[in-house]
Amino acid sequence: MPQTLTQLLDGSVLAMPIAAGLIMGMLTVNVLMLVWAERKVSAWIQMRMGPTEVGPFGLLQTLADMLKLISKQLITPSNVDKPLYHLAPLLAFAPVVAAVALFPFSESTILVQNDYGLLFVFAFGGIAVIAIFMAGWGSNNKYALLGAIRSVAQNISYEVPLILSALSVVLVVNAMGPTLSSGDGVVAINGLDLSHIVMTQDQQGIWFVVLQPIAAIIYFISALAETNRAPFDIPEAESELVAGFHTEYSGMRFSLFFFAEYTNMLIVSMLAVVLFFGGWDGPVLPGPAWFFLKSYAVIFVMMWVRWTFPRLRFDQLMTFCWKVLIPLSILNLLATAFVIAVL
Amino acid sequence: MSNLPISRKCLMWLGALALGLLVVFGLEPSVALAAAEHAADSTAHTFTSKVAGDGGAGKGAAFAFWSFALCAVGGSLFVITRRNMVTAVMGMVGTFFAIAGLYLMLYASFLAVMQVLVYAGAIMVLFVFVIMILNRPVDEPWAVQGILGKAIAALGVLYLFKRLAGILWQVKDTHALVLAKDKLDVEVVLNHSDPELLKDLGVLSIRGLKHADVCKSLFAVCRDNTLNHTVADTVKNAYEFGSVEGVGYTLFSKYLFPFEAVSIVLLVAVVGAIAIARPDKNEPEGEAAKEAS
Repeated sequence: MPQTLTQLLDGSVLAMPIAAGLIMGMLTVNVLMLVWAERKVSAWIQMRMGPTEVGPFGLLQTLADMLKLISKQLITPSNVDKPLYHLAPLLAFAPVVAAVALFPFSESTILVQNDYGLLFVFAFGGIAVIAIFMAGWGSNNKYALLGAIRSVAQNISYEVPLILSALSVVLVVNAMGPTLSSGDGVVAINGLDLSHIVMTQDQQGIWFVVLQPIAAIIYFISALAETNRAPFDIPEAESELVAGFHTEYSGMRFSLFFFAEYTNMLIVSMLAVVLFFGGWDGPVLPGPAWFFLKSYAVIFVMMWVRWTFPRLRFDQLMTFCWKVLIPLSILNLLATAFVIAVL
Repeated sequence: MSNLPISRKCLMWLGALALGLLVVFGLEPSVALAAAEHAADSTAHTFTSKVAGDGGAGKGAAFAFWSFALCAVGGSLFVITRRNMVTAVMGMVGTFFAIAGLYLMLYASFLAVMQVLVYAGAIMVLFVFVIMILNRPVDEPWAVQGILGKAIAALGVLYLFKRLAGILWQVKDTHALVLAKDKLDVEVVLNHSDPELLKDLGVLSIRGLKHADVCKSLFAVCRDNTLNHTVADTVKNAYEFGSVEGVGYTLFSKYLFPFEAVSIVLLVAVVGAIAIARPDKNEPEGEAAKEAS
């Protein structure tokens, strides 16, 4: 059975456009559903109704919002740094699409198979930081610049515990043995390959959230900060910064940032599922169904957190990262390595 | 041009020289052919054999190589010619990405992803922060003016030219290494190793696997020292080129001292930067306040 789309289409040049189209379609539906879900969850937590007018349960509300955004005029403020201003939304949008392509939805549904999938996901996350900075700098607006500086500082800081906690999982995967029996034979185990991480959990019959609970907690907190979500939404802080780095963007350009933000939520949740919750592993239902069920469960927790906790101050945020999360994740990594070396 | 400081002129010459070198060596038939040949080989493995059969893929990959190369050189020229520092940094990001692309074409996908993660991600942000905090210094860095300065610059450029030429001279060796890795086909490996042994180890279903998977399985077997040494070493060397294992072992064994030394130098640089950036406590109050405003 063909494992990747490239193999399925026999190396045809159409593979890339088809894969991109599939992902774009999936992500659009995902973003529409997530925005609706966020409004419903917030309404539920605050004992309101949320959107009810358009479609059943207000399901079509975000579709209407999207149509409105598409039809809006694109306003370019006169004193912006034009190349950076125009490039930023595209650069924010492209890497998240590329990152989604790397995820294994089930053992046989992988769009792009890469030996260093985990690292590529983090690398694409790094590109988003550049886009945010370009947007903030190019807008020539002090709120936008302040938002961008905060966002970049926060993203760079929280990337460290995020990667370190993922790395302790990689160590565990590699310690599970030199080889792994995959669908059609034996392959050398590679902890940086996303599907190998899931296959190891599948075959060992244990989710890594049990073996690495501290890493899972650190990962979740850092993921909240990486996606700029409350209680770490200081870069956007409506009440003080208007909207942060995308203050000067309107219409479709704004919605590209919005799209990137919600897709980033999906990416960190999918990565959490791959690293800690056994990916496509689950009874009865097919692999992709489990994968997405688990991902949306993680996203629900992220929304729950957003509507429950107040926003942190910026110094609290940085202190927490550098003095608590990073030392803790390094200790966790060292302890993991020590245990593996002793066993 | 004439009122540009000498340091910037040096950099511009250097960029022009690099571009010239690329063009000259590109026109030199053997190097160009080798590049195209290698590109064709790598494409053959990246996609399936069907694509490689029509002969157009070699040109496509050569095109990719030249666009990455042009992007890298163009980006670095952009860096040294822009007056706006943030735009210059964005040019540098372009260069980093192009170099990552070149690594990918050399099979070193681990190096490529590290290039993006570390340079385009982290180092770049560091640059941006330094630029914003320093807020574009008015003075250019000090440089020797007049004929002496030109002489020093010329010597420096000549030395770098020699080093660059030296690197290009060695291209053929690297090329041979990559080709050797390409030729490490399933058949070659199976002919040199004991089928019974492979069967015992449960890797006999090897023919159904991809090239990379075969290499990986064999590598896993070799790590257990069960195959005879020469084949094991060949497979290991070929698989390890630019992989996590390869980079890791080399960095922590052969180049351990330079690696640690560089880390210490970086640490000292960070401490030094903080020491310089801190306000001077001995400075009179009024002056510090004036500076702050």
